[in-house]
Amino acid sequence: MDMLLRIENLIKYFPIKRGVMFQKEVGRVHAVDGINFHINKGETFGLVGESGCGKTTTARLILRLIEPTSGTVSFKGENILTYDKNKMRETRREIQVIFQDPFASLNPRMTVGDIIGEPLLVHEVANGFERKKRVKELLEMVGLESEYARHYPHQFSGGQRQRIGVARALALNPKLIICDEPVSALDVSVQSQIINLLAELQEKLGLTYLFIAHDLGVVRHLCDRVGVMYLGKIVELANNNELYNAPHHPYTQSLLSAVPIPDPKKEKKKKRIILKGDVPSPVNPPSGCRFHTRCPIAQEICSRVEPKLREIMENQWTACHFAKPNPIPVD
Amino acid sequence: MAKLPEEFNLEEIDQEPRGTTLKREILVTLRKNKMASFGLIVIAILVLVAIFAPVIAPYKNAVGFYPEEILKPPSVEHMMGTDDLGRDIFARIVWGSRVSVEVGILAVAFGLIIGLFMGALAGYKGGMADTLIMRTADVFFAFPYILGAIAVMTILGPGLENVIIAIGVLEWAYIARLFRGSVLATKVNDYVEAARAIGADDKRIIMKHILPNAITPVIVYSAMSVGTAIITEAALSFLGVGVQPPRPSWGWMLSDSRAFMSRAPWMMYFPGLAILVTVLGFVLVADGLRDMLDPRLKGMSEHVTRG
Amino acid sequence: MLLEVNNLRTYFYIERGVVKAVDGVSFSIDRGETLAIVGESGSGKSVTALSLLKLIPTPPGKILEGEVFFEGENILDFSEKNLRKIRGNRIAMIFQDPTTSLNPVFTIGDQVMEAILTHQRVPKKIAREKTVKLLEMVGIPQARGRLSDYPHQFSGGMRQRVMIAMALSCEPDILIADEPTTALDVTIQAQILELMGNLQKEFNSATILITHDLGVVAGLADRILVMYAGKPVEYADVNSIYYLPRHPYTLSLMDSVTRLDKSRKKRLQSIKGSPPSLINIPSGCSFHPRCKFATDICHKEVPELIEIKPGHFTACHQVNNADKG
Repeated sequence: MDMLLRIENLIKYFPIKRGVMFQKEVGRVHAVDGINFHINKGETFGLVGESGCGKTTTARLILRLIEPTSGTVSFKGENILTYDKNKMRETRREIQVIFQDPFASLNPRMTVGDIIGEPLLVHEVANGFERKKRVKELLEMVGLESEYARHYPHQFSGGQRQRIGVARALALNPKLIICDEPVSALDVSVQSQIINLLAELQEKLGLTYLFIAHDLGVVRHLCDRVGVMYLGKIVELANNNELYNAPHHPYTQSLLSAVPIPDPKKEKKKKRIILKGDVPSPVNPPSGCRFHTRCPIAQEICSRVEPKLREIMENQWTACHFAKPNPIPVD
Repeated sequence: MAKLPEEFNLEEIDQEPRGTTLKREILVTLRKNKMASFGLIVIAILVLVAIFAPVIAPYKNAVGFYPEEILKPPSVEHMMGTDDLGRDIFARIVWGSRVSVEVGILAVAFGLIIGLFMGALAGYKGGMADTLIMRTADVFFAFPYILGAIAVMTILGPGLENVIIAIGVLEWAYIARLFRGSVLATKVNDYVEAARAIGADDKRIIMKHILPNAITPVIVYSAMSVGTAIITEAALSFLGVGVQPPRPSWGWMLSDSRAFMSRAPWMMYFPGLAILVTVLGFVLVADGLRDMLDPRLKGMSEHVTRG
Repeated sequence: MLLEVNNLRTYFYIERGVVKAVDGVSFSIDRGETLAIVGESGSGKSVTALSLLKLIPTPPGKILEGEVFFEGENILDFSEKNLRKIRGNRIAMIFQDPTTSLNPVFTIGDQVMEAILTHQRVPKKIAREKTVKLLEMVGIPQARGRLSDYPHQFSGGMRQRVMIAMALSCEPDILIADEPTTALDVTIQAQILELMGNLQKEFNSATILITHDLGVVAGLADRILVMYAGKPVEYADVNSIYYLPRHPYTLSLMDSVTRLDKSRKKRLQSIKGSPPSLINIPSGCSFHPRCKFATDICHKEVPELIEIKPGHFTACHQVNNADKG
């Protein structure tokens, strides 16, 4: 299979500064701390984790909205981090993004037509009538009426706004679309519309998705492979079915067990693993395995030695000293 | 108005396109608000009077020396009376409005040009540029406004142009600080990130995405500071460092009236009233525009509350 | 019955018109029970909760009609003074956002103590001891040492625990929880839900759980009230709602959620359109523009909530007709 995107040893530390005039660095947020993964052409790769795990930072690094501390981001075999402004601008046509908040991601002072047409204008691919035609086409593609082009974003519901965001991302015929929590701000009945739309578009246009979410149900439905992040690290990476059926990392297992299932009988029978405490601060991440402070099966070695992400089974990578299927015993 | 619970969903899609261009939003707000409408009318009258001054009152009545007309109370001939040199006060008020309008608009425009640029630079670029610009602005905040104006005037010397420069030089810092904050708040919006992800350059992002969304507080402030600028001009002229005679200025007129307060109080009333009403007009408009900025009120009327 | 709500109607009168936020809601709940009110944004579920304690901002809001019988007395007729004796004391509430529900300038200890001292005449020292006990009960480690901490020193999950401790400070008969875990991560959500379940057993209290999340409800609720555009559309015990839903809205809602226990890549059922604006509710059955089964009558007449099976109510013309014929 063709590899479209490859991330190697990507690191992003945000400095914490104090002082008014002469700022001193007093600490660092270890937002993304050395992650590796790749995405094949035409697949949907899911990146899941709880708030503060670094998944959104990863998205912004790939889009080069922020610059990493170190590491490489290779798109079609070339490290885009070395690209200059012009080359990067060209590359942006191929990597687009859909945001979480459909209320903040559309400029309230622009018409829908201007919003969707902006990428075409910026890259000078279509002008005047041509652009209008393409905007119409895009609106229809995402299931909106073409007359909506002259309306303003605030006249639309959340779901419709998200469709507008999708249309903007599609405008330049990108190869890769980074979906940063695209449905988590929407009502349940509308979520499914957008999920279906994304799936249809992928089939029709041969798109590749990096799908970032905290909702494990959505990722289960949509993704081919899934990476689980915890405190800036990928702790497990596997094919969808393997990950959901037999998680090898205790964090993945407890995360999955925590998700409520809309089925009263299953829900009442289910043995839930309740993790103790909160996610530690990424400013001073725990030594050794980052999960050891909350891990039910942690041993002495876990606080000393950091487990490497290793291939436990074919296509299943886990970073745990005691990796095995469902490692936490549930009685 | 009380806050509505958040879960309300007042969005309606099947309606006529209702613009959110800034211009439209401002017009709608001002029309809806009665006090602001009154303010707008006052400003309109002021501007019309300034433009059509030659038609309304001959300039020669506003300047010169008319010994036989000295200190006449209001009458049919002189509806606001005359001053100690026999000049018609109505004519002087009419011609003085030109000074006020010029100072008010040009000084604030001057402040806006510098302030918006500096504010945008500081807010958007951050880092060293931000530190440098904002610390410089702090120097301007350090001394009282009117004292600062007097200081600048003593350096530049009196005259209308210098009044405009003096006020503009002080205004920029306030505008820059305000706009910087607004830019900082606007630039974290996802639509700015989206524009960057598309490949839009800084110029486009600032002009298309940040400016139209960050400018509203500055518009409110500017309306207010046109009023302040008019008062400052009057104060400077009153103190003798502002606009120079014989050009009629409301501040000068007030200053002249001091010696005749009891003998000819109309010399004081009319320019005082002119200043009061004009400044009130701008304050009311600014106040009306502020309503537009209140996100809660916004949710109630023109905008959609979040579902 | 501990609490019985009859035909509650709460409207908001705003510039653009009348918002019919709650339009004829009835339900009841007894000790030891959990009732879930499920709905999407704008369904009126939160306003329902606020109306129970007359916490509606007036104006623009107004409770037009309805009765809320608490131990046989209609609390909507109570004076503000008597209502205060019930709020927070006999009926307590916790809200969605633990970051804004706590006052940032007071310590955690002060805020919990305040909740105790408002309703109970006890010396400060005893209130303080009780605060420590409450915080320990909701699982805050080293509770005594954290009394003098401020809210910002607590994580989101910990703050929600504090909110629960405050709500429980007077051992209320009814706990109303409005989206208590929506702002939290799943592993923290699991902690909070477990805590709420345990506490309910311990106190034998009643819980009204308001949420949009069908998963959260499945494990906790005994009965479920599904709301749409301010109206109840289906009301039944939990198993009926999940396994035998009758109203088309409930039905499609169940089919449209993504779930962990269903394998992937099948097209999800989805409901076309969006939840309506409460200011411009569709005629007849408010769900008809999005309903697959809608016919003429659905455009014209508002369906009544009818008991189609003992304890199972729906408001749908199609279901009602089918059952008649």
